[in-house]
Amino acid sequence: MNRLLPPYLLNGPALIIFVVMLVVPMVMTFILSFNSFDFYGGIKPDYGWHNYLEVVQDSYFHEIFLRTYGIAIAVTFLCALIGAPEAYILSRMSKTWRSLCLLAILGPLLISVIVRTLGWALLIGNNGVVNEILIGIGIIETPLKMMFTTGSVIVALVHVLVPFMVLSVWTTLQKLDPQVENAALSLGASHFTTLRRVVLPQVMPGVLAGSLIVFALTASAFATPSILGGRRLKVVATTAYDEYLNTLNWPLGASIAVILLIANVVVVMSYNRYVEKKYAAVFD
Amino acid sequence: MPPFFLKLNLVNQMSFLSLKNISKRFGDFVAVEDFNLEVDKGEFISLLGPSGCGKTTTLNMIAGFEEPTTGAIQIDGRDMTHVSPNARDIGIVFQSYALFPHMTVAENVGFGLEMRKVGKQERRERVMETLELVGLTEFAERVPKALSGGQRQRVALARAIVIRPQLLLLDEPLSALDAKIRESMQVELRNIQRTVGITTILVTHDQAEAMAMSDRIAVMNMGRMARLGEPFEIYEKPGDSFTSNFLGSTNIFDGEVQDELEGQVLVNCSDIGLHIPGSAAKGARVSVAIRPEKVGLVQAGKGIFNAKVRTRIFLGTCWAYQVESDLGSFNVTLQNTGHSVAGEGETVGVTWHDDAVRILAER
Repeated sequence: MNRLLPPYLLNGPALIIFVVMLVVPMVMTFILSFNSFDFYGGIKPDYGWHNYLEVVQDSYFHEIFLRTYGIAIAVTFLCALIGAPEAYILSRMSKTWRSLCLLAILGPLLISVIVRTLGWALLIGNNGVVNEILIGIGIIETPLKMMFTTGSVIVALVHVLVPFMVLSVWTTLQKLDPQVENAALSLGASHFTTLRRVVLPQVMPGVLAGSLIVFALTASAFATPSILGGRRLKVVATTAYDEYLNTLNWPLGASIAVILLIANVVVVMSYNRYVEKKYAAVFD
Repeated sequence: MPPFFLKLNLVNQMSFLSLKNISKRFGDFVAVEDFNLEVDKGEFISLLGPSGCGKTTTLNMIAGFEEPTTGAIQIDGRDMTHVSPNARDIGIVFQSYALFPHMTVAENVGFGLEMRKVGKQERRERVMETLELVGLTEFAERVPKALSGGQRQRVALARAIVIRPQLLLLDEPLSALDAKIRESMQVELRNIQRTVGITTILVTHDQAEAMAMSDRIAVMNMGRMARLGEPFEIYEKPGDSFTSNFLGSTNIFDGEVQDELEGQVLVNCSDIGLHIPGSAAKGARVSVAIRPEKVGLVQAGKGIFNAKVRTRIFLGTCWAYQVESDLGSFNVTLQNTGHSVAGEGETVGVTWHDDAVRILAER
């Protein structure tokens, strides 16, 4: 029997699933994105760059892409700001408290994104808990507009994605030699200097890896922006969805999806290369 | 206030580092119990003991990473018990070296100077000076990852001494190195310590390392000081069976004191009478110890008693014997003089000088 056969056979089921579920739809979407669409005639099997040109030239799409990446950068930044200290504090906790807090941080991952986002909607809606309380104690008279704002989308996305940052930083913290902090202290560094000069540079790869995950997930997020952002505050993923299901312009939706994919791949890969290059000399 | 010369004299009279009745408990666990130690300026002291004996905890208390549950720590007459580690002015070489992986060798060594706000120019000079002392001048711009274990060890040492601390703590600094490098580093470390003249505390579980490097050794067992003294002194007069066993190997027999003469006792060990220097009450049960290298093997019948050779191992510089006798089995080490010696299964006579035998305190 061929020596190479067993590995292929063992890989077979996974390969088939990948090809059928991922590669085929992707290729079809890619082909679709070059077709044209007529409001009366439907999708026509011709090929051209017109959909891409439309997205690239129309300021309507520019705004959506800018908003998407603006949100992604903000969410990534906030996740790093919250997640990294959170992971560090966790690593310093006693075992019991650490398990409890890890459960609290990772617990939300067990709940569907839709459910969590709807929870946010209940909190921050015009008749939501927050507004009711604020009106109740007389701080405001008319409800604050929090739903359908960029801010609410960012806050909810941070909530959804911060566990990924915590886990990523946590992993690098595990590799940190606990004596290194003591070494810095014994050399006369304050606790703050130790954190800034010794701990932070060493967990940076974790922060950067976490940023990568958070950024990619935010840029392609759909559920949270569609529920909390609503119809008008569109991001790329919800725009593609609308083109498919409302306008029924599948080719345009496909081209938007393809551009989003390519942009994400470019950002993620160049970022990854930067991180690897910067830290290659220091870390294994 | 006494005049300054009197005060100076007073300071000189006191030891440089003193640990007074320090104890450390973690919950119910007693790590260190009632530990006392006085260290003179410039002295090299080892805390020696098996893992879990409290030596690292003691070191951590001197460094300030742990606070003693009770007792006091003084350095140069100043109470340091509750001073935070970054204000103690102590250089530490950690077991894992704990180098900063994201900094170059020069940045690692210069870190302590930077924290002390030493100017760039002077910092550079002192870093290069210290790197020269440890023989790493050409590695200044490398990162720790690109160095060998021995080189990392030197960086750790350079980083600790460049700040000219009043006290140097070494936490098992050589345990991660292989045997050859370890031996040469022992000599080098000792030479550097003498050159710089810095008071040094070494924590180790390796008795050979402790004996090779220290002025005095504090043997620790179960959180307590078992024995304190110069290496030769405590090797020759270990005092108890723990120290005796921990410092080199020892043959220990049980016996009963039959008679006491001036400065000597007659001990009956399994019906063999042994004359041993020391004193003990008549009829007392005692442990008798003799080191393997102090035992001689002669022709059968010509020794104190006869024994049968069970195993014989050649180790280059010496022969390691295990012999069987009425006293039980015990170890003998004979210098390799190039002549043939008794083989396995042969009956031999066992001999020693009376003053090579010790009576150990019961614990």
